[in-house]
Amino acid sequence: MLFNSVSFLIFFPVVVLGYFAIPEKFKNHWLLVASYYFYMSWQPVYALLILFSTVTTYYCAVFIDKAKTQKQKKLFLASNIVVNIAILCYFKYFNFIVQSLLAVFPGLSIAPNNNLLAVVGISFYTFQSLGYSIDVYRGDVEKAKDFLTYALFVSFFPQLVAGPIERSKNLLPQLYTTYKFDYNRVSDGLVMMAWGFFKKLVISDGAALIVNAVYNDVTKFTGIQLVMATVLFAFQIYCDFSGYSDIAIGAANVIGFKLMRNFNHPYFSQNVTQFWRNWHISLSTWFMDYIYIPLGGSRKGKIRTYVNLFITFMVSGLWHGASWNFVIWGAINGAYNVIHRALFGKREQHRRQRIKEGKPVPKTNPAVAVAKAVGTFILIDFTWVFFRANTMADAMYVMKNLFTDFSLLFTSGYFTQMMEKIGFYTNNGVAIFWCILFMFAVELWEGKSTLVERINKSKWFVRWAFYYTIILLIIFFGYFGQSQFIYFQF
Amino acid sequence: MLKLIGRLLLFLPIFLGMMFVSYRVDPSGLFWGRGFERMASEYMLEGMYIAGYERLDGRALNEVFAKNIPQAPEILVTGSSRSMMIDSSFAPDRTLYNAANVGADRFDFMTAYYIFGKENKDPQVIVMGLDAWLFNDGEDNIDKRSNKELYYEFIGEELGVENTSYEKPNPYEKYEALIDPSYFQGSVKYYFKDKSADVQPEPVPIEEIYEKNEVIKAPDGSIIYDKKFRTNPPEIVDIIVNEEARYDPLRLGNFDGVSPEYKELFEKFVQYLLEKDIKIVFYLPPYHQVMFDKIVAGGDYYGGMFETEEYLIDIADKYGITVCGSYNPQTAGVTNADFYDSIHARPEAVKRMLGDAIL
Repeated sequence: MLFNSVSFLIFFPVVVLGYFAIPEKFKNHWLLVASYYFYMSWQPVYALLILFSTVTTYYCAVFIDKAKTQKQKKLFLASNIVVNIAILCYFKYFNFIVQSLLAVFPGLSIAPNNNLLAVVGISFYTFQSLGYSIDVYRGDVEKAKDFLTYALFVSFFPQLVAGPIERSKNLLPQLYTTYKFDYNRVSDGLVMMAWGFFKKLVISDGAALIVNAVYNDVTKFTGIQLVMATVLFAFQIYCDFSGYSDIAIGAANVIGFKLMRNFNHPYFSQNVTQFWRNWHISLSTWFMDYIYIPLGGSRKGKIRTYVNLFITFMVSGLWHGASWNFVIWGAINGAYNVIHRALFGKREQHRRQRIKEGKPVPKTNPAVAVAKAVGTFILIDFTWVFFRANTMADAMYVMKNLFTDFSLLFTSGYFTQMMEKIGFYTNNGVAIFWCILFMFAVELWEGKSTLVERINKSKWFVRWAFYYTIILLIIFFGYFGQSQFIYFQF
Repeated sequence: MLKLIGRLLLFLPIFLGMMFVSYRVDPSGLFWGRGFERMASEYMLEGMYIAGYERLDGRALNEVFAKNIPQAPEILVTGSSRSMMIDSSFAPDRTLYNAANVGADRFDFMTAYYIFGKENKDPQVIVMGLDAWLFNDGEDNIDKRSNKELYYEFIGEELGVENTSYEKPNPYEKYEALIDPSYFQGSVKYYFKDKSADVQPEPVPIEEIYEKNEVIKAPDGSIIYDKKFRTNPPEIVDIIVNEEARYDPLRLGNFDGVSPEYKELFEKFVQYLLEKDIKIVFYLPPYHQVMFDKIVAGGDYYGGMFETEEYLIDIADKYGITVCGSYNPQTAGVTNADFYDSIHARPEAVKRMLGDAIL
């Protein structure tokens, strides 16, 4: 069931009203049933897989908790990691591994399994489960009090299929409490959902029509067309994923739960390191806590730090998809971060130290800040080529032809003609452009607070003007073809 | 909770506005019919004649017209193009609408009535232009333009005939478009679209209707053929007829018997109309003598036509229905001079055949 579907428009109010109406002791049961129903709407059989992962992780955590020796604890943790990684590897990476092996050793007697189901959200819930078992092992959280609560922690429908990847420290304690209807909280949640729908339906889905036209047949296009599609893809993926996160956070907030922030104005970042601190925060911090730091983090010297950073990004690339495109995408981002750290690591460390000590940090000139943000955007956008291209060959074609025929831009009517050929005008490209500017204006207006905090501080007419603008933009320019969210595939 | 509902109601004007725009503009013609036919119907209701008939979907036009005409016509004409020349001058003191369709098949034959019946606009008299091919069950006798869904709805809902092809439609389904933002977006685009290049029905001043060299649709649904076709000299008509007689007469090929299933359905239809106190007149449009001779010479290959006429006369006797005309031109009392071509008789001849049956 997609958030942008009629089914969800019926499902969500029913679940929320039901939650507030039923007795306290059944509230979590209700949410668990709703969450499984939500998940099973894709493929009922998926539920068996998530149930298997849930049961295994829950009991591993129970055994870890009861284990008398460190060795036993380690054994149970390792078992759980093996089970969850095995599920992930089999359903997500099996064919990729087989195809890669066959490419190197054509004589091998193995074959891809074409009957394997693409399991929605598998990377999200297996990572959430792994995080939980590691937290219990480390003693950072207590094991879940009962199976029901833990099952709900894994399957909670707003964040089940595309995050944010919740930490047990944040979500689990919230599941021990029940929530009553609260006007302010519910309206805050609905505002977040509306903002997410705006990003998804207007910007992301609108941009997708143009991006897909180019990227699904790249060799037909050149120069400015490839640039336009690549730039628009940067906004498509941002609005798709952050839009999903906003809807998830909003939906959870309507019920009473607070999910972690997943995006913090990433395209305003001044450098690539900052970008990755503000993009898909729940995943970045997950990798930081469970991969980068266990690898040694920055504690084992410069070279090891760089290697650890690089490995973390490579794994992140692979997490996003079972294809070499994603591995290369991860590698380029790893390289960016290593280079940035090598060049500016000390300055960054010094700056952070000053912030820690409460000392003033020299402000960046606004013009320089804009130039840095644009530079960072360009660097990141290059990496999106590998993320979006259907094949490595397509990605290489785009990279080679990105800046061809630019001299023709000075020819009268050339730009318009090129844009017409990618469906820029017929697919509301101009409106999408203005909506992107509007989104940036709102993000600037938010400042360091969240959208909801900023809105609640505003005068009533500003609030209502915002609400009306969002709804009108969705109605006038939204795409209602129920397109899948990009991150579902991960 | 009430506070939240109250606040949410403040967004209602947006949605009401969206619904209003979608309903009024209606780019797909869900509520008002397709743009071209809707406009043609508006002209016709204002009493205007229209050029551009070839671009009209006659079936859609009749549906829109039936919806929008304020009162039922007293006389309704059904049938094929062979009955389309029956106009209001045939019954000057009564209102008449000719809902006949070009190439009408057995589906059209019933839906031409049902589009009015469904709107509770039953006529007092129905003139059935009965082409013999309505009883020929060959697959080639189905026109791709006829509204099968409506036909199955009619025989299922009104005649009580069990049929698997009919699934009762949800009458409210079209209203979903009113809450569909995509339909709203389409309405906005359509409203602001430059329609100057679109083909539009063109009203024709009454003094020019017989001068035009194209088919004109009259406000009573009948048609006036183009001037050239109407004024062909007899020797040209002969050439046209002889050329047409080289081929099978329309949908009569391989017609070796009347379909019992269609006979049963037809009788049910007649009973249904009579129960509603609708007077029925059968009109059997004649063929040009040359074409008729070909049919006679064809023996069993076209034999179903003669069987149909006998059957219709029997039914008429059974229910006290007046029969006008005949497939046989001599029986119908028409000569070669009464034809435009091999199958279409001139209005004056049709008027003679109908006489005062519809007055």
